[in-house]
Amino acid sequence: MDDVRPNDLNPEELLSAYLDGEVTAAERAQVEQMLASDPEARAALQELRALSAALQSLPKLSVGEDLSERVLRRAERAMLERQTLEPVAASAAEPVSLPPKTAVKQGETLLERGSHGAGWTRRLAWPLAAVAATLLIMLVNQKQKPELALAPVNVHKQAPRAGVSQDAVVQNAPAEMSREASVESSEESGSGSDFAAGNGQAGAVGEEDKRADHDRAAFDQPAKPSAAHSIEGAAVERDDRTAANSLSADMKAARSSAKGENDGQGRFGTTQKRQLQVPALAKAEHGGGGIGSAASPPAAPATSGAAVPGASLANSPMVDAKRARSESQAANARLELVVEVLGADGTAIEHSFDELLVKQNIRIDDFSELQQRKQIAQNQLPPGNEGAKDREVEAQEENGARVDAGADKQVKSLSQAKPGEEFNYRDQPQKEAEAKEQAKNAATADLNAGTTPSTKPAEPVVTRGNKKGLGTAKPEKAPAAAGLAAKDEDHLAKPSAEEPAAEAGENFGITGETVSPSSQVEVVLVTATPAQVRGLLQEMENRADQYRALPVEPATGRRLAEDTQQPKGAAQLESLAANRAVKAGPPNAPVAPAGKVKSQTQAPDEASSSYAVRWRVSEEQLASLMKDQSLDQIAGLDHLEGAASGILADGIVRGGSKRETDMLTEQAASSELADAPADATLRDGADEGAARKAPVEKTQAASQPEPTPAPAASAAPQKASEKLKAPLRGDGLGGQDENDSQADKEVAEKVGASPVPAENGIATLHNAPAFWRQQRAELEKQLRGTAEDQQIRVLFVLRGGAPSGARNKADVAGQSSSPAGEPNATVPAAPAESAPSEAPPAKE
Amino acid sequence: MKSDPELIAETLAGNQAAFGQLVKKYQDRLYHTAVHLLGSPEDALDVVQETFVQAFVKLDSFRGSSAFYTWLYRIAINQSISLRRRKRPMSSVDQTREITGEEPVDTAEGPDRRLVLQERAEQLHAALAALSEEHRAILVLREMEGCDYEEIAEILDLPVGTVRSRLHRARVQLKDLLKTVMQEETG
Repeated sequence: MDDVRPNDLNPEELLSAYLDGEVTAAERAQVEQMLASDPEARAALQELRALSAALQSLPKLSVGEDLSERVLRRAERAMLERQTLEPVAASAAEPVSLPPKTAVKQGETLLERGSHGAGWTRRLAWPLAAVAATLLIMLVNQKQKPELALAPVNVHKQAPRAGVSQDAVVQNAPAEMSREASVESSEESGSGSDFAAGNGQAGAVGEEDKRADHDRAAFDQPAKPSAAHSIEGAAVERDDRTAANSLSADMKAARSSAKGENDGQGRFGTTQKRQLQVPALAKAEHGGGGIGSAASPPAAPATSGAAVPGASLANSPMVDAKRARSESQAANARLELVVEVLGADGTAIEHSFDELLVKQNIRIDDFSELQQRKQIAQNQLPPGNEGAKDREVEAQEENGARVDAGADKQVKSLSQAKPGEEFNYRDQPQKEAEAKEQAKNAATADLNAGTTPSTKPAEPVVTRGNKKGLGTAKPEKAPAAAGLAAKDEDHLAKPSAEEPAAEAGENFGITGETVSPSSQVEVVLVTATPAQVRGLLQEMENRADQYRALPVEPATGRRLAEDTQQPKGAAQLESLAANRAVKAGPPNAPVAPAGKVKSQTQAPDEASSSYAVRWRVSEEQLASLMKDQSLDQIAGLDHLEGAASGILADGIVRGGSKRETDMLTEQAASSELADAPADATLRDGADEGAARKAPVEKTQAASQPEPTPAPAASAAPQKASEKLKAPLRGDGLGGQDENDSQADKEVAEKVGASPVPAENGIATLHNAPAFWRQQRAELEKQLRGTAEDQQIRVLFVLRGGAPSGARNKADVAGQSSSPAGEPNATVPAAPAESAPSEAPPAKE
Repeated sequence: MKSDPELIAETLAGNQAAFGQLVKKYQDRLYHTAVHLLGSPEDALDVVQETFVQAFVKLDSFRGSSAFYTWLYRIAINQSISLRRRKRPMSSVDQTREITGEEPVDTAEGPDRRLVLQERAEQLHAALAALSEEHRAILVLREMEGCDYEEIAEILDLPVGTVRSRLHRARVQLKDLLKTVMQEETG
């Protein structure tokens, strides 16, 4: 306790008071006497004076701006909140007296009228309370709707969740509307929170200082009234949801802009606000103005469908409405099948799969691009870098090169290009080749000089992606990328011993992993209608058949690629024509690979909401995804959006980190989704909660000794998560019989590829055709129960190139629960769908 | 220039511009105090704004028994202390440099002297940040705002005797923290 009596004052305290002139006459005399006789007292006083002088010498600080406008705006809002909500909180504790019958003067604002002593609050108390209660009910209902949708439903029907459509509408709304709504909602919620914290002392919330909103909650006030608690909760929930909606809108905006669509005034370009907030995004647009064209008219209708995919369709309200409906359905779509496709190399398979998607009118959204645009939108990338992509794409278009939305290239270009420095990723392979050449020359020189050549391979000049490459020269990263890289440091995968470090230095985009080109895996999450999925699968099977029909080269056992059977001149001409057609299109449009399939490629209908999001993972990551059943989690659009915003991407995309997997597991466990019935199966109409709970169960199970895998025949009733996992673990889902297994084995032997360890067991179109058929039959069953206008999600794992050490490592890291008798799958060489002229068969 | 009571009366009568004048009048003083209390310009700005908002909202409860700025300070101090309690104490050279800014302490001094003063200011800020909230608040009010004991007592809702003793203890603590600085100053 600081209370002291005057006679308790010690001499030093007297000195302090004396210094401040806060002593009585008697005390003053006492102090002066002491100072005269005691040198120490004089020294102490001198110290106190010095201290005081030092403190007073500190520079005077000023705000630097006039706060009155801002304060008054906030004050007005606070008054409104207070007047609105105070009666609600007070009504529970106080008897309510009817407000006096005095009218508010016409044209009089709340602030002008003033709240001080006028007593008008009581007059408006009940009407405002009614409005507030209505708003609260609406808010609570909105929040509860998705939860209600978690009740068991027929997942095959995939009925739209309540609330999703509303979100979709928000998504489909102009981005600035959503953003503004978010801001407003945030403000309102902050006000609610403020009020709840303040014993009726409502404080307005400025849009600039969200943090202050929370801080205000701690203002030393008495306990919150219960009514205010509920208000606060509702406000916070609303804030969160609105933020999510805004994020969804951003995602959609990115998606649309990724296709180069110019929505003109319809979507992004209507307000200067949006343009100012996302300058980089506006800059990064192509294809006729993009989102930044605030004043530009809507783009003219595309005259060349193949070249400019539906650029003007998005302007149609009907199209928007259709898209909104489809988006709401897409949000419901769920993962039903995991498919692996093998290709000659990553590029070829990517091109090929792109083509299939486009053929099915499924537009391709690049995951990393979404993430990247999100970063740009959040101004996380340094100024100037946003122009790098423009320049890059322009340069490519100028040269007629294929414009690829690949993660590595774009992210690299943005993260590595310095402001004002032109970056062209096309130069990088050459630089890498030069680096390798230099290393080779150095080794040769060492040999010539009679010295032991260095076993250390040359470090690549360029590290791809926005993550730090292992053992590579560290690129100068953009701040955002640097931040991500810092987080990634302990998750970097080591290159396998079989792979040269130079190759392992390739770092693929957002994965943060170091993978070699031969071990890259492209994961594509397709959200499409049943017809589209069927078409996709059918086309893949057709091409697989075509591939199998190719003659096998006796010496190598590989399929002879098509280009060996066709006159090269014709193929080159077609390739050239394809590139020309692409040149006129938007940068991110799917591009037909060179070759005869070009003419079949058509632009995706922008009105279609079917889309594919893809990203790259290493084998290890993929194995970890499978192992931890993170696939269940990436099945949700929400998660992808979270990933795109950089929140959850690391946990999923890197996948192999136990810590992050645990984090995600905890999130799932703590969510209400985890409470959903766990024993329901997809087939039996399980709710989404079951699927989402699967990772929790799996992780819990993983902490225990791995049980012996059950034989395929006994694995009949499986949980949803196991069903999702099954094809990847190769545990014989669906009772793959001996004949099928034998058929698979024969095919595998026939194609002459080196065997893939059975532990991997990933079913592919090529290494396990019988299993593929089984899976397709399963999918067909589900598709039959799905309305044609509903959407389904299928995760495709595009594996480029031959299995390598990385795959072996993945096998080690992954599950090893393949039941006895599972055929050793094999990996073929280049399938027919690969662009032959560009993708020679990979070495086994 | 109208007096505070006049502006308050006009505000209560519905003239918000009058309150705007009060804001302009006290925003810098309040900000200066809040920065030293909180150690963060951003937090200080938040607190200042919120203080004025609270003052506006509760203006009808202001009885005029004390000076308006005393009442304002009371709100600000309470908010600052609350905010700071909710945050971990933090102080760094960068932060104090940020607080002190580029503003020269004494333009008449040479660059070396200014550097010394700048360094001293940083030390002072760091020492202030290391004090307890009560001691820091009372020191800021006394040394930087020049409040007398009565005003401090009113703002902090303390007896005058407590103000005196607490202020003394705050000085002793600060002196210990700034021992070297003080030695240079007195030597």
